[in-house]
Amino acid sequence: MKKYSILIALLAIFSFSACEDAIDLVPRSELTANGFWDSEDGAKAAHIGIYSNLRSQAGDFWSFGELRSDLWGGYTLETPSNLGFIESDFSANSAPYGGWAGFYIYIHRINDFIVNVPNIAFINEAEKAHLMGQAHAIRAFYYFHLAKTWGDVPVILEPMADFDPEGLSTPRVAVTEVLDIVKSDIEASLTYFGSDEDLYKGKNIYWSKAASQMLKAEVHLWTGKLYGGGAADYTTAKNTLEAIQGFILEDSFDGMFSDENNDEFIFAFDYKEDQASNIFNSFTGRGTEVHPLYDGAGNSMSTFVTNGASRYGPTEKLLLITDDILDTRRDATFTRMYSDDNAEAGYPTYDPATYQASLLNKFMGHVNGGGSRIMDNNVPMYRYADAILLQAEAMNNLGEDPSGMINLIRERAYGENYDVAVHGYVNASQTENTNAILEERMKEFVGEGKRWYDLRRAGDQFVFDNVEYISEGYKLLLPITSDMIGRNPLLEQTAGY
Amino acid sequence: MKQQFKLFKQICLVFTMLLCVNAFAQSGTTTGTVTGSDGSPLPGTSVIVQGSSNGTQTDFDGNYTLNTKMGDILVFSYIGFETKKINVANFNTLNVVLAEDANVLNEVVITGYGSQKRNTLATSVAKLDNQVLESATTSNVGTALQGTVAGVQVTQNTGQPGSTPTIVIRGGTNFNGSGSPLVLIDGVPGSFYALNSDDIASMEVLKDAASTAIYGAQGANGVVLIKTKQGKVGKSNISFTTRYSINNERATPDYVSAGDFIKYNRQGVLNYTEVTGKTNFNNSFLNGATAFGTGGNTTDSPFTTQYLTADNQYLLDQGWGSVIDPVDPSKTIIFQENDVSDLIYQNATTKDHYLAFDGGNENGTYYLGLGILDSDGLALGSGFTRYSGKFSGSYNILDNLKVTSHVAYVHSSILGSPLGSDNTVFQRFSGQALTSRTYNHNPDGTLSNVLNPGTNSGFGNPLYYIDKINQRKDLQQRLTTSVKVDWDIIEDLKFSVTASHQATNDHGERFNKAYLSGGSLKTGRESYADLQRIQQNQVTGILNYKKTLAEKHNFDAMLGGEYFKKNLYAFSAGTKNSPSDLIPTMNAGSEANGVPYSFETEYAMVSQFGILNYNFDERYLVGLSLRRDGSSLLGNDKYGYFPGASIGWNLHNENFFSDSKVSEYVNSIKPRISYGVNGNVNSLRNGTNTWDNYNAYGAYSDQGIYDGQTGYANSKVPVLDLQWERSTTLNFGLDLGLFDNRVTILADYFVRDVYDKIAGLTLPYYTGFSSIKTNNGILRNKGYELQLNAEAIRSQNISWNIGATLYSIKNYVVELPDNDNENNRQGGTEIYDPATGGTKWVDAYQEGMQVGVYDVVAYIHDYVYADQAAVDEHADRYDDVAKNHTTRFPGDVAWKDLNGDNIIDKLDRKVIGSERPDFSGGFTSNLRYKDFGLFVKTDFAVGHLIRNNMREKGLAQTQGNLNAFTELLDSWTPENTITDVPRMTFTDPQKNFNRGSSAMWEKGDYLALREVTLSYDLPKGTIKSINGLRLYFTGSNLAYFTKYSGDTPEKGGFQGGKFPTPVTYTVGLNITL
Repeated sequence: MKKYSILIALLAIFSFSACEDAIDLVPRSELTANGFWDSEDGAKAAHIGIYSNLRSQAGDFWSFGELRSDLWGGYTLETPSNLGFIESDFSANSAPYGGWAGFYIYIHRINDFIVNVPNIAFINEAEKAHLMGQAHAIRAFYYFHLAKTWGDVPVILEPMADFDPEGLSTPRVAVTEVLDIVKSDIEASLTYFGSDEDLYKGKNIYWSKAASQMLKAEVHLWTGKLYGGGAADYTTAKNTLEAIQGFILEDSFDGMFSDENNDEFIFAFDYKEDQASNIFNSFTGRGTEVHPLYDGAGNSMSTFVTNGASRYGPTEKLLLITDDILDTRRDATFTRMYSDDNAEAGYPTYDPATYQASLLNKFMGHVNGGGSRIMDNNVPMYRYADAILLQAEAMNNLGEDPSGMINLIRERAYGENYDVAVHGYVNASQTENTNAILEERMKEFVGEGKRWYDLRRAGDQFVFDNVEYISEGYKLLLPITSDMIGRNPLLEQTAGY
Repeated sequence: MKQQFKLFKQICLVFTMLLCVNAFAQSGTTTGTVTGSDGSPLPGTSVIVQGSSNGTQTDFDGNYTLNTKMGDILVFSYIGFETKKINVANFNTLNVVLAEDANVLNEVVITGYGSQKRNTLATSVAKLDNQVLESATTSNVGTALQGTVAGVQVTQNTGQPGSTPTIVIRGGTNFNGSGSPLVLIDGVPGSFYALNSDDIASMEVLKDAASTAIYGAQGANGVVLIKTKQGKVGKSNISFTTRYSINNERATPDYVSAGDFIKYNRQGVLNYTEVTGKTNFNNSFLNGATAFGTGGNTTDSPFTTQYLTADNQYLLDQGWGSVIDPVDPSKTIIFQENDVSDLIYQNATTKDHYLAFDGGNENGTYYLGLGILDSDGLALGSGFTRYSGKFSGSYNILDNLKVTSHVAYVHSSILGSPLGSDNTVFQRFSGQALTSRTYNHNPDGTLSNVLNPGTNSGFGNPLYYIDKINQRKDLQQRLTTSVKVDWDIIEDLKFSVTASHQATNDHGERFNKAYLSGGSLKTGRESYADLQRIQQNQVTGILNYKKTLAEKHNFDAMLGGEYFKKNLYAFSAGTKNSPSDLIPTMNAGSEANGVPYSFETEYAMVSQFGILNYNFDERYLVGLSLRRDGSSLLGNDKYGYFPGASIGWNLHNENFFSDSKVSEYVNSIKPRISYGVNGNVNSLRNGTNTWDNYNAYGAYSDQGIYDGQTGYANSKVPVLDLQWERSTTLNFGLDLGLFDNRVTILADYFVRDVYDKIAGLTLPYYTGFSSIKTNNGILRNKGYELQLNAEAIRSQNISWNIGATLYSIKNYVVELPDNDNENNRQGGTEIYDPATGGTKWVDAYQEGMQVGVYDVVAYIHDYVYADQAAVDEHADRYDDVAKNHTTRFPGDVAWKDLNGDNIIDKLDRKVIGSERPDFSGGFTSNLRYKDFGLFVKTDFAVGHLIRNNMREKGLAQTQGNLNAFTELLDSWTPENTITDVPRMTFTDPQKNFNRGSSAMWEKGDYLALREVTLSYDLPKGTIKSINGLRLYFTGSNLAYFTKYSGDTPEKGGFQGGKFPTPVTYTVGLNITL
C-alpha cells in the first residue's frame, strides 16, 4: 500500500510538470515570422506597413530637402529647432542623422516585401503587379534620398537573415553605383506598372506609375547635372515627364491643400485625426507668445488656436520673395505676425521692425470640435506643378525655352491678377532661366521639401550663392558618426570631413 | 476530530503509565510550562534528557511532564528560540522561558522549497531583521531591504507612495547591472507592490546560485522569499496596529528671487546676442509675455513682469517688487513675487490600520489580517490607498494529512500627480519662475480668486490644472489563493501539493475637463479607460524524505515538479467631446478617441527538480540540487538543466577545535563554498516586460494606421536557435561567531559568470536593426558582502545590538561574439587616451574590461575665463561644440584640451566616474533600556555621480522660463569675475553647461538616516486584559547627509526633477489582546 502511495505521489509530481505541449504556446495577438507571407492578406498588411513607415520618415524627407537651403532659420517665438543643421554647423564629431536616419529598417522591410510577395497567389494578379511596382519605386525613393544626402552608402537589396557578427561589416558603395540601382529599381517599378495608369484604390496617397515617372525624371536630372549624364539624362527626364497622365494644375493654389482629393497631388502622405499628424505643428506657436500678436491685416491673433510650437521661422529672404500681394501663394503660404496692429492699419507688406514670426498656412490643419488644432493636411511629395517645373528645368538644361512651363505656374499663382506683360517670363540666358525656375519653385513649394535639392540640381555654385553657410563642396554631403563606424568598421568617413 | 481526541487520550494514558513505572525507579517527575519571552506558551517544544532518548513535547498550553532523575540535564529546544539546558535540582515545577534566538548563526532560514537552520546551511541566504518592518509605515515593502541586507541594492526612484523601488541582487545578470529578483510570497510568484508589511512574518534573500538553482530559470537574479504570518497553536490573539504619519517636503534647493531672476535672464539674452549675433529672442523673451519679458499686464497675463508706467505704479504700493532693467537701465521692471514652487506640494498624511486575529489548536490554526492604508503623496494629487485582507488556515484532516490555505485580497489604488510624470513633474512645476501669476488681478489691482492657468498644461499653474487635466481613477484588485496538501506517506516521507491562482485586475480611468491651455479653451473632454488582467497559475508537487542514520548521518532529500503559466490581457478605449465636465466616464463622449485596443499574451514553464542535503553530525555539510526547466519563451531549444552544489564545515563542532584555545573567543566558525547554475530567459523580452513573450519567433508588428488600415511589417527577426542563458556563481563564505556568539559575521565573496548572455548584439545600421537578441558572450560579476551583528551590551536592563552591512559589486565583460572591432567592442564612444596618445573607446562593452555602460564621459570644466585677457590666451582655439566655434567671451568655460590639439571636440572628454555606486551598505542600532527601545537604521552608497538637470536648466535657461538655484548669483558677471560658475547666456549657445560638463556632474555619496524609532512596551501584566502594548514614534527618510544639490541622491545618472521622497513622522500603537 505504502509503495503505491509513493508511486502515486511521484506520478502526480510528473504528470503536471512533464507535459511538454504545455509550453508550446501560440500567440493570439501577435504575428510572428511563421506564416506571415502565406497569404494575400499578409502582403496587403505589409503594403500598408510600407506607407506608415514612409510617412513616419516624412520629417526627415522634409529636413533633407529643405532645411539646409535658404528657407529657414528666421525668427521664431521659441528656441529654434535644428539650427545647427540649418546652418550646416556640423563636423565629423557632431554628424547629424546618425544611423542613416533610420532608413535601413524600412529598406529591409521593402526587401522583405519584394522577395516574398511574388510567391503569393493573388486573386487579382494585376493588383499584385501594382503593389510590386509601388514597392520597387519606394525602395528607389529611399536610396535616392540616401544618395543625395550622404553620397556613398551601403546597399542592401535582400531582407536581412544572417546576423553572424563576423563579417557583418560592409563598406559604402560608390554613389554612382547606388544611383544605378535606384534607376534599375525605377525601371522595375515601371515594368510592373506597365500601362496601368490607375491610382491604387483611386487615391493619390499610394504610389503610382505617375509617381515613378516623377522620381525617374528627378533622378535623371540629378545624374544628368551632377554625375555627367548630360543631355541623354535630361532628355529621358523630359520625355518621362511629358508621358505623365491623369494630373492637372488645380485652379486654386490654396484650395488644393485643404482638398486632399485634388487632381494635382501625384503622391501625398495621408494624415488623419487619430491616425497620424503631419510635422507642421512646429510652425505654429504657443498661445502665450502668439496671442498678443497681430496678423498683417491688423487682426488680433488672440483667438488663434495653437498646437505645438514655433520652432522654424522663414528667412527674411523667403519673406521678401513671397511678399508679392498679387500672388495668391503669398497668403496661402504664410501668416506674418507683428507686435502691433499699426493703429488698425496692419502691415500689408513685410515690416521688419515689428515682424515677430510666421505661421505656415499651407499645412495648418483644422480646429476640431474640442477646440484643438489637428495637423491633418495631406502633404504632397509630388504634384503636377512639380512636373511642370521639372520639365522647365529639363528643357533649360537642353537649351530649350522653358518660359511656357514657368508661365503655366505663374498664371495659376496670380489668377485674376495675372498680367502676361508684367508677370510673364520671357526666355533668357540659361543661367537666368535657371534662377527663374529656382525662384518659381521656391515660391511654389515652401514646406514641401524641394528647395535644397533644387539648388543642388542647379549646380554647386547655386548652392554657394544662395546658402550663406556653405562655401565648400564637401559640405554638400553629410558626415557619418563615429558610432556608425564603430558598428561597422569598414565604413569610411565622408570625404572632406 | 473525535478520533484525534481519542489518540490524545491514549497518549496521555501511556504517559501516565510511564510515570508510575518511573516512580518505582527512585526517580521523580518534573513538570512545568514553557513560554516565550512575551509570556505566550510554546506548544510543541521539545524537552529531552540530555544523552538519552527520554523526552517529550509540550502540549497545547506549553505544559510538559517528564520523568527525570536527579542531576539530569533537560534540553528545551524550539525552532526559532535559543536552546536552554537546565539541571534538574529537584522534582518541583520547572517553568522555562525561552528567548527568541537573536543569534544569526542559529536562526532558521527559509530556503528554496523548505527551511533549514543556518548552521546546516552552506549557501548564501540573508534574512531580514523583522525590526525593520515593525514601526515605519512602508507603502512598499521593498524599501525595507534598503541597507539591511548585504548585496541587495535598493533604489527608491520616486517619492510616489506605493511605488516599488528598483531592487538588484548582486549586480544583476544583465550587462548593464540590472535584473529584478523573483519574489515569492508563500511560494507564489508575486511582487512587492501593494503587499502589506504587517502581513509579513519573514523575508529571506537567496543570493548565491546554489541556493537559487532550485528555482532554475526564475532565480538567476536572486530570490526573495516572503512568508506571511500564520496562526500559532495556542491562545487566540486579537491585535491591532495603528499608525498616523505626516509626510513633509524635503528642504528644496534655494531659488533666486524674482528680481534676480529677471536681472540675470535679461542680461542672459543680451549675452546670447553677443555670442550669436542674433536678436531672435528679443521679441518673445525680452518683450513678450514670458517669465522675464516685459509683455505682462496688470490683470491676467501668465507672468507679472512689465515696465513701470504711470498707469501701473499703484502696484508698487501693493507689494510688487521692482528692478532696473539691465537691457535698458533707464527703465524699471515691476513684478509680483510669488512663491509658486510650493504650489506643487500638498499636505500629506498617511493613515495605516491593521487588525489581526490568530490562534489555533492541535487540529488547526488560523490567521486573519485586515489592513487599511491611505497615504497622500507630496506632489499635488498623488496618493496611494490600499485595503488588504488575508486569511491563512490549516487543518489536520487526518493524522497524516494536513490542508493549508492562504487567501489574500488587495484592493489598491496608486495615483500619480495629474500634472506630470514622476520624473519631470517637479522640474516643470516646482521650477517655475517667481514672476508667475497664481491668481488674476482685478482691474483695481486687488487680487481676485480666479486662478491663472499659466503658460500651458505642461508648464502652468498647478492649482489651475490640478482638478482639470488627467483626472484619474485607478483600482487594482489582486486575489491570491493557494491550497497546500501535506501528506505524511510513511514516517520520514512526506508529499505535498501546492496549487495557487493569482488574479490581478488593474483598472485605470482618465478624464480631461475643459481647460485653458495656451490661451485656448480645450473642450475635447477626453475620457479614457483601460484594464489589465493578469492570471497566474502554479502547481508544485514535492516528495520529501528526511532521515537520520546512525544518529550522525542526516539526510534531507526532495523531488519535485512544477508547472507555471501566466496569462495577460489588456483592453483600452477612449471617447471625446463629451458635453459636460460632470461625467468623467466614456458614455458621455460623442465619438471615439483613438482606436480601442485589446491584447492577450501568455507564457508557461514546466520544471522538475531535486534537492539533496546531507550533513554528518552537523559538522560536514553538503547540499546538492538540480532543476530542469522548459520555457515557452525559447524556440527550438526550450529545455535546460541547472545544477547547484554547496559544501560547508562547522569547524567549531570538531573536537580539536573546541579543545583549542581559540574556541574561547570563536564559538562558531563555518567556512562554506557553493557553486550553482541558473538559467534565465527574461532578457529575451524587452527588459522584464512580461507582455513580450514571442520574441524568439520573430515579429511582424503594427506600424500604425494609414488610409484607415493597420499596416504590418517585420520588426524582429526570429532567433529560434537561442539557448538558455546560464549564470554560474562560485561563492566563498565564512560564518563566524565570536565572544559567546555576541558578535556574528557573515562574509561572502562571489564570482558570477553569465554564459550565453541573452543580450542585444549591436549591429551595423545598414542591417536595419540597431541590435538583435543573441547569446552574446560572457559577463562576470564579482563582489563581496559583509554582514556584522554585535550585542554590544547584554544585561538585565540594557541591551544594545548593532548591525552593519557592506557590499561592493563590479561587472566585467569576459567574452563577446567576434565582430570586426577591437576587443569585439559593442557600442561606446571614442575619447583621447593619454596612455597611448591615440584614442580609446569607453561607455561600451569590451572584452576583458569592466562593463562601461555607466561610464560618465564628460568635458572637463577647467576654469571660467575671468576677463578678455584670459580669453585671449586661447585666442586661436577652436571649439567644435560651442555655437561660436572661434570666439569665446569672459564668463565662458575654459575646457581642458586633453589631447593638446587646441581643438575642443569629443576627444577631449574623460571618464570621470560611474552612475553606479562603488559600494553600499547600512548600519542599524537597536538599544533597549527596560521597556524603552531606540532603533536607528541608516544606509549609504558611495561613488555614484548624478547630473541634476534642474540645476543645469536653471543656470543655462534652456527651457526659457525656469527658475535657477541661488548658485546663479555666483555666476560670472563683469563685477564677479573670479568664479567657477559660467555667465548666464540664454539657451546656453556656448554649451558652457549643456555639453556634458564635468561641473554638472555631482557626487551622489550619501548616508541616509532612514529610520529612527523610539518605542515603549507596556510591561506584561500591567493591564490584565492586555497581552501586549507598544507605543512608538518613528521618523523615516529623515535626512540625507550628502553634498548633492538635489532632493534625493539615491539614484545616479540623469535626474530630470523627480518626485522626492518625503520626510515622514509617524506615531504608532500596537495592542494585542
